[in-house]
Amino acid sequence: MNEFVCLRQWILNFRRLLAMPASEEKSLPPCASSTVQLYPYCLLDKPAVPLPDRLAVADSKTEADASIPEPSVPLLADHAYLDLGSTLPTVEQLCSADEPRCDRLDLALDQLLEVMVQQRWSRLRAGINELLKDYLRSLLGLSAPGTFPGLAHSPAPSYSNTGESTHCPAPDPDELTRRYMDILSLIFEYCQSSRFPYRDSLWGYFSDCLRSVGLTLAEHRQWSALAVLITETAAMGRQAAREGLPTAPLQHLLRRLESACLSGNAPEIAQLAKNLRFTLEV
Amino acid sequence: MFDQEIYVTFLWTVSGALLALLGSTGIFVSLLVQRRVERLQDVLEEFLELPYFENKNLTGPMANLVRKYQMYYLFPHGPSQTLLFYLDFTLALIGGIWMFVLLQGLQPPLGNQLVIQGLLLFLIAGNFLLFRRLLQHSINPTGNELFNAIIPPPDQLRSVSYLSRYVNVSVRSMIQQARLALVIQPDGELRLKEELSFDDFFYILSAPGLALWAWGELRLQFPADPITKKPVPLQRNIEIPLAGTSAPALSETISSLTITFWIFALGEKHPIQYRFILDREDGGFHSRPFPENTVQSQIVYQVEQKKLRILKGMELLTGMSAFLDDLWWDGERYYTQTPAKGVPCRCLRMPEIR
Repeated sequence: MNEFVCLRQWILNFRRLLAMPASEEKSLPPCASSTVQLYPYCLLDKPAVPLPDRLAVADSKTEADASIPEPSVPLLADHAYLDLGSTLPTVEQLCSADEPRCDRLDLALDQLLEVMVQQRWSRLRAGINELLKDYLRSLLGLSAPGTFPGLAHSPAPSYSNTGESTHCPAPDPDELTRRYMDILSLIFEYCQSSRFPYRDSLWGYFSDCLRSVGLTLAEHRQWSALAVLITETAAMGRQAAREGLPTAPLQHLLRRLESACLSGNAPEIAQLAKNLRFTLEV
Repeated sequence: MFDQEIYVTFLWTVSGALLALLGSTGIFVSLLVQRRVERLQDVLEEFLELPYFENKNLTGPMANLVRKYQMYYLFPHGPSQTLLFYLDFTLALIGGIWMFVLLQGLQPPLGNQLVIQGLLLFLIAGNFLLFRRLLQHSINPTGNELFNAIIPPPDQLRSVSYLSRYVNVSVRSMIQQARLALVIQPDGELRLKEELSFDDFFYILSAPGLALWAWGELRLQFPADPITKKPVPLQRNIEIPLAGTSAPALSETISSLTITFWIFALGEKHPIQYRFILDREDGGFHSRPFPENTVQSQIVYQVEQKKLRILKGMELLTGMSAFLDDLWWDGERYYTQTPAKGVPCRCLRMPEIR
């Protein structure tokens, strides 16, 4: 099997991992067949803002994908796990058995860190792209491509609401955004280690992807999610500026978001974007 | 009462001792001043070495260095005024003693000789004043015309012409850190955005897609903060209006524009050429990040008597040939969309921080 097919396979597996329902998190689904039909691959770093219908349509759909039964799952499905980092335990809690929490995003992070260790740039790039596409789908309440074949023909869901989904239970947009941005910032932290050679390229790709994501959120008026996104992005940007990485694309994005927020009647987010832009390199 | 002769001799020795004390404290003061000048020059050197790391994002470090430079530059006036008071007091005392001793020795028949003697005394007094001034300047070496050439005031660090003329650094990599960008706003105003406010250069801008030419000298003035009274050497995120473009040119279905921007610095002979590609975004046009910038060696220019003269490379500027004789460095910004008519408009809008 040549490298191209391996990469493709990896992306398909990763995509399946992201679309995995909670009940199946512990076992990865089998590999897809290699006979596939190619659709234009949707890259988030292209200048165009991804339209919801482009996100909803599978960009490289296989029959095997269609066999995955459920759409994307709510996050943090298992609240029972006792985490000493976030709670003060009671004796009863310590004595009771708790189920270890392990959701698809943890698995996805593991996968991404693994390809970073192996220095597989294309896989890392595709993985981040898939992750962010999955984020947009979860946030906008779109079904993952190929999960419900019947839904592709159903009327498009309404996007102009505040993230309420017609298909799946709507996650808290702030929490959801923070979760995905945590993954990105962990990846960014790792990429500053001297063992990872593609730091500059990865940061450039991050900037490009975050631009698309930010503009999409602004277009769909997801203001609270956008506030979390730009705060987390600016935290990464400050670190990047300290490391001497270029922040011009980020400045440009914040400037555009500022005007988008002003025209979208969200002046406090515009003010936040402006503050972040001014303090990006202090 | 003291013996007259012994008293006068005592006064002589006292004035000598005071002068010796003044000299020795002068050495200490000069040591302190020297340290400070060294710090300033270290910061300056660090600042000038930065642009050699061309590919790094140095906007933050550069702004911080200018701030640090300003911190060393603005020496608090309290100590230097105390020092000056000591100096003045001692000098007045010595002068008084000398006058007293001389008056003691004055003998009544006042002849012509006294005029010559008095003249010499005046010269000596004048010389004292000169040295007092020199000491005053070296106690406080910043912000006076005597030392400005050695220790430039912090706002000179943003002047492209100063940097290229006196310090001979690579202006191109320096100005690259300013991250220039062009924006055409929905109302048709063309603006230059600078991440770091470099100024003091002449520019010519050519937008063939809009038949637009703009030129002028970019000179920024930042008044001291009205509340904290601190001077502002450098600003971040400044936007400078360069031209107003007419709406019809923009309403056409152009999706992207190419604009060429030349920067002429005093002390260079080839301009720096930026090539911006502007894409339609949010109703206006925004330039893409990381524009291509090179030194345009086809154009040769010279600055004489506050005027820019293009010696070579006129063919690149044929569109504005009617104005090539009137490129004055007068701090004004001009533009025209009808170069054939020969009357440019002035851009009067002030730069703003956004």
